[in-house]
Formats: sequence, structure tokens, C-alpha cells
Amino acid sequence: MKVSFWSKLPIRSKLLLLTLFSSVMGPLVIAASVILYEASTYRLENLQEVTVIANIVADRSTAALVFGDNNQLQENLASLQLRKTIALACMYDETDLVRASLILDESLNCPAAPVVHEGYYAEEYLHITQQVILDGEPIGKLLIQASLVELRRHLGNFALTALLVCLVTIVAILYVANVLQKRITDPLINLTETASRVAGEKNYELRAELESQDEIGKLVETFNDMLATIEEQNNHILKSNEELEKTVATRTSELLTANKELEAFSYSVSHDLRQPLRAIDGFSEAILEDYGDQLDEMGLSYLQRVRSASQRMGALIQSMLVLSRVTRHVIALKEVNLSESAEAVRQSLTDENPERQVQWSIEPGMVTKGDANLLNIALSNLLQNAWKYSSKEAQAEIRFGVDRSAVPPVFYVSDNGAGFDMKYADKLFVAFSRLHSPDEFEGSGIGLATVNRVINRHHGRIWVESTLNEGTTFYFTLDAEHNAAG
Amino acid sequence: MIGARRLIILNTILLSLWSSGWARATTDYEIKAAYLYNFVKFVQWERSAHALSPELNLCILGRHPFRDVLAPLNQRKVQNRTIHIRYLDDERQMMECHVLFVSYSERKQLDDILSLADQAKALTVSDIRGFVRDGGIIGFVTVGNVIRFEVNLVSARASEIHLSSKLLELAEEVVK
Amino acid sequence: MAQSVVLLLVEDNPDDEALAKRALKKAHSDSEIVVARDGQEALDFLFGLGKFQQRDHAIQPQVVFLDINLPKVNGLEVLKALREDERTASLPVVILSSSDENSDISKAYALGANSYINKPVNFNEFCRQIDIMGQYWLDINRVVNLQLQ
Repeated sequence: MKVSFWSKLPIRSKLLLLTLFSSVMGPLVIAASVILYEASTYRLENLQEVTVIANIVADRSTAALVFGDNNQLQENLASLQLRKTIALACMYDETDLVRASLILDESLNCPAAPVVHEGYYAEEYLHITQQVILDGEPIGKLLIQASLVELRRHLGNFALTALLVCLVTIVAILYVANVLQKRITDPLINLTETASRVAGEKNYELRAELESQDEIGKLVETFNDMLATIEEQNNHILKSNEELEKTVATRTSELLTANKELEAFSYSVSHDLRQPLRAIDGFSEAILEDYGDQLDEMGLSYLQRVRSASQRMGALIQSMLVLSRVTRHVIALKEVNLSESAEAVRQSLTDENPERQVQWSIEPGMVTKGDANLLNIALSNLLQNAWKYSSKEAQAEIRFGVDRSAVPPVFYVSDNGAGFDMKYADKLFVAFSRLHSPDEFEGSGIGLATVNRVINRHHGRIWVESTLNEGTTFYFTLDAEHNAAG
Repeated sequence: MIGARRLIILNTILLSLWSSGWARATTDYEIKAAYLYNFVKFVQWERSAHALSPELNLCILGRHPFRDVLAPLNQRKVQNRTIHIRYLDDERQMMECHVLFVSYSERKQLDDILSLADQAKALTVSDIRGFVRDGGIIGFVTVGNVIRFEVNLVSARASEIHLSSKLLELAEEVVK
Repeated sequence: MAQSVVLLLVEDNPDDEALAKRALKKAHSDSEIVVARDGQEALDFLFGLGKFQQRDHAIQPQVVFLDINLPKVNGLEVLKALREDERTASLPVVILSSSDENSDISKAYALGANSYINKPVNFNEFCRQIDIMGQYWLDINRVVNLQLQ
């Protein structure tokens, strides 16, 4: 939208302009019409007046004309000098001979052949030529030219007067309008200032001053009502906010308490659950060592089962501790070389099971931002998984690499092991769900849940593709930095 | 109308001659005849008989020098009256006269004539020297070589004759 | 000389005490094993206080196996007290803990622990660790001979 000059003017100026325009227009129109009227009236009156004068002079000059008294004629014409507008007067006899003349304007001359005319305006002059009649007989002619200077001066004076009146009117109107306008604009300015202050200070307790009972007054009232509503709502919001903050604080402290309790629980689990397990395992071993010879085959087998069960439970508790630690761990971002981490895991797995023949393929230089401890845990779990489920393959293959064309890059850990039916894929990352029986593969069912949590805490995604008896590939992305930036 | 036209022409000629100083070329009586005619236009007779009469008797008393100069004036209309030129043989005939021109020849009986004229309420005009001072109403005088006239308002008033101020303006002298 | 080897085992749980003793006896059958049931008792023994006032002060343990989770005075407080006393400041202390928590491990080392063992569930593994520890602290590593001072 184009911003016109008018729209940029303050209301005060607009009102002033409007008032000025309407109030000046009146006197101007009146003055103009009066001047026009005066001009036409003056011309008419002037014509009549000069005609009358001409009549008088003509009448007075009848005797002088017929008795040939040129001096008297001259005298009669001279009396016209009193009339300032008369520029030329010529007295002709019946033969159109000039008998007397009065030339007040040097540029004029008595025309040779005067034509009788009632009067017309031409070339800045009023022309009158009339017959001098005596006893019904024309005995000569009287020509008079009257200049319109007087008319001009008259109209000029009139216009000047009108202008002065206009000026005085304008000044008076300006003064009065200024006073009256204040009564209109002040409440508006007050309202605008209040609105600006409210917007600037966000102080909804402010109110515009009510100064009038007109539309502006109503506007002010409405504005104040609106402010009152806003203030009320604002207070309501502030109160709700306060309550919300209290609630958040309560929840946070509750959450902290819950976390502390969880920590205490984990600690307690690690100590108090493992201690009896140690005792079970330890004393079982003691029985085997000290009283093994007194037991039959069955007894020895049972004790052996007690031991392996307690050790499995120990491993289970260990896995739960790791999962809990992954959850509680405070993330510390830095550059992590996943290739090196994987290499370390490969080394330890190979050391533990030197008899296994596994074809490893680890892409070198896979560096990413993340928490080294958590990523190590996740990577260990995935590689151990691959190691575990490919254990029955004669030609086991484990691959760890990255697809850098994707954003963010997609890492993958694949094996050519047992694989699983994809319809159970959604159970894979839930703690304690296992797809294989402990007879087939050892496992706590917590490893992948831990991996999932590590990836989640890095704002990444993990998914799996698997074909039964052909192998499994885990894909995951890491977007820790995105989160750090956010 | 032809007559009137001719008079106007005459009048015009006379006037133009005067103004150009050729007065002498025209006879004094041609001028005086025109004057007589013109005087009538500026005169009101207040006495009822003269005032109401549809005729205007212009009487010439004595040996008049106008010869036929006055003839065109006869039957002319002035102030809606018809001019009748009358040449009087006897001053007693003057009772019907509106205007009475007293010829120079009558200067010896001027007092008698004037007292009669006074009764007749006639406008007396003459070129007798001192005519106005002797009680006549309008008297021709020559100023330089221009013919002018004098007026005796007292006599005019006595004869109940009103003379237009325009005429008085032109008078060389006005006796009041 | 052989009879002078004393090991102090601070352990409140009788099962763990029995198992630890068994593991220690297996590896170092010639050592005298003194057992303290809580932190206070351990300190009393080391500094010859309380019921140990009459004991021979010349005899000090070569290694202390210290549990963290102890009644009265816990393991870390015992460790702190040991390190603050010049008589025991350089005494080798091996922490035997059920906790694998980083915070526990770092606290122990900060207070001057020499080794930290997370007691495994598997007894055979526990025995192996105790054996290694005993070999190291009693045979391989040289420590200040407190008896001569």
C-alpha cells in the first residue's frame, strides 16, 4: 500500500487542515462571488452613472451649443473632471464638429465621427456617445470615455479587504480550532501514548484518561475495558505460569528423587543381589572341592547347575547395571574413533576365543561425535552379538562400516550368522526379550535394549534387517551434534 | 420638415461661422433670427393665456431687418407650439405676442412699447443699446465681433416669464 | 619369617568372609589372616586400640583387604584414617567391593587405595583374583618394612 502524504499526517494536522479548508473556503467563495457581483454591478452602475452625468452635461450644454458659447461648453465639460474616471469628453455640434473637449488621458483623442451609443465597455473604457437634444431636436453629440481604473481600484480594494477578512478569519479559526482540537486530539494522543506504553512496558495496569463522552471517550472506555481484560488474563496467565513452575519444580524434584532412588536401587542390586549369588556360587564350589568325593554323579551335576545358574544371574545383573548406567550417564561429547573401538572389541573377542575363525572387516577412520563410554558399550554389544550369532558358521564374517552418502551417515554391523524372522524385529530392542533360547545362544536379552538406549541418547535411529540362517545387519545413525546444537 | 431642416442647417452654419470667426460674413440678423428661435426653447410663459396657447406668436415691431430670414421659422413647432411670425404695424397689436422683437427703429418709443409689452407679458428682445437697462428682457450686445445677449431678470419676472438658467449662464450680463 | 605374614581382611558379611578366607588360604596357606567385622574394629586392630590394646604392636599386616560397605565406619572412612596416620600411610590396601560403579572406584583411588577388585559372582574367578593380588603385594611388590621402624 502506498503511504500518501495525507496518511502520514498526525490527526491534529488533519483536523487543522480540514477546519482551515472548510472555514477559508466559505469567506473565499463569498468574496469571489461578491467580487464578481460587484464587478458586474459596478459596470452597470458606472454605465448608469456616467450616462446620467452625460445627460446632465448634455442638457446643461444645450443652450451653449445653440448659442455657440464654446467657453460655456468647455466649462460644462470641465465639471466632469470631478468625476475621476472620466478620461475623455467631447462635445460635437450637429455637424460632428468638436466644439469642446476634455482630454484627461493623453493617449486619447476625440474621434472624428462619433457614433451614438448607449454605452459599451471596450479597451479598458466605458464608451458613451449620446445625442444632445433640445426641444426634441438633436443639436449635437456628447462623447464620454470613462476609464475602468476606478473599477479596478474598487475591485482591488474589495479583494484586499476580502483577503484581510479571510486572513483575520483564518487566524481566528486557527486559534479557536487549536483550542477546540486539543479537546479532540488530546484524548487521542493520550490514548496512543498509553497504548505505546502498554506495548513497550507490558504494563497492563495502565489506563487511558477518560476526557470526553463522545466516540473518542467510548474508544478510551473500550480500550480501558480491553486493558482490564488483558490485565486479568495476564494475571491469570502469570498465576498459571507460577503454578506451572511450581508443578515443574515439584516434578523435577520428584524426578530427581526418583533418579536417586533408581541409583540407590541399582547400587543395592549390584551389592545386595550379587552378594548372595557369590555365596551360592562360592559355597557350591566349596562343596565340590571339599565333599565332591562324597557325592554321586547326580549330586555333582546338580551343584554344577546351581553354579551356572548363579553365574547366569550374575551376568544378568551385570547387564541390568550397564543398562541403568547407560540411562543415567551424563553425556560428554567428543570425537570418537569407532574403527579403533571396534578393533579393540575384535581383539578381546579373538583373545577370549582364539579357536574361532572369523573374517573381520572393519572400515578404518570412522570418526563421529558422541560419548565414548556409551558408544563403546553399544559397539561392544553389537559386535559381541555378531560374534555370538555367527559362532555356528564355519566361515563366519563380521563387517562394520558406514554409508557416508546418507545424511546423517548410516553405520552398519553385519554378520552371516543365524539371523531371525523379521516378524519378531519389533521385540528385538525391548529388554529381556530374546529370540533365541539360552540353549542356542547365551544372552541376557538386555544387550540390544542397551544399544537402543545409547543410540537414542545420541538422537540417532537403529533398525535391523535379517534373514533366517543368512545373517543379520544392524543399521544405526548418530546425531548427537544436532542435539548439542539444539 | 423641410423648413425645420433648413433652419437647423442655418443654425449650424451660423454657429460654425461664429466659432470660426467668420461672423461678419453672415449678417448679424441671420444670427439674431436663429437666436430668437433658440431663445424660445429656454423660456416659459407663466401667464395662463400665453402658457396654454397652442400657438406661439413671434412678433416683430418696427422696421425689421430680418427680411425673409424668419420665414422658415413660421409654422415651426417649438415646445409643442406652432410659431407664427407676425410683423406688427402698431404696438397695440402686441397683446397676443409671446415674443416681441423691438426693432432699432422703435428706440424712440421704447418706454411706451416696454410698458405695453409688460402688460402683454411678452418676452421682449431687441438690439437697441441699453435695452435691458431700460426694462427690456433680452438685449443683443456685440462683444468683440461676437453677438451675445444681456438679460433683465427683473423685467422677466414682472412679465411672468421664466428664463432657463442655461440661458442665463450664457448671458453677458444679468440684471437682477 | 614365614609366620610373620599377616593379612587383614575387613568384611562384615560372614559368607563373604568365609569365601575370602578360603580364597586367601588357597593361595597363601602360610599367612595369618586377621578378620575385622567392621571399620572400627579394623582401626582398633591397626592402631592397637579397644580389644586390641594388648596385641603385639610389632606385628602389622602386609596387606589390607577392605570391603567398602561396612557397618559403623565404612571402608572408605577406614582408608582415609589409615592414610592420615603416618604409621599406616604406606600400608597396601586392596579394596574388595561388590560395586563396579565408577564413582566408588574413583573415590577409593582418591583416598589412596592401591588396588580395586570388583568381587565376581564366580568363585573360581574370585580365587584367581585373590591369588594374583597376594602374589603381587606379598611377593612381587616391595613395601616399606613397618616392623623396623
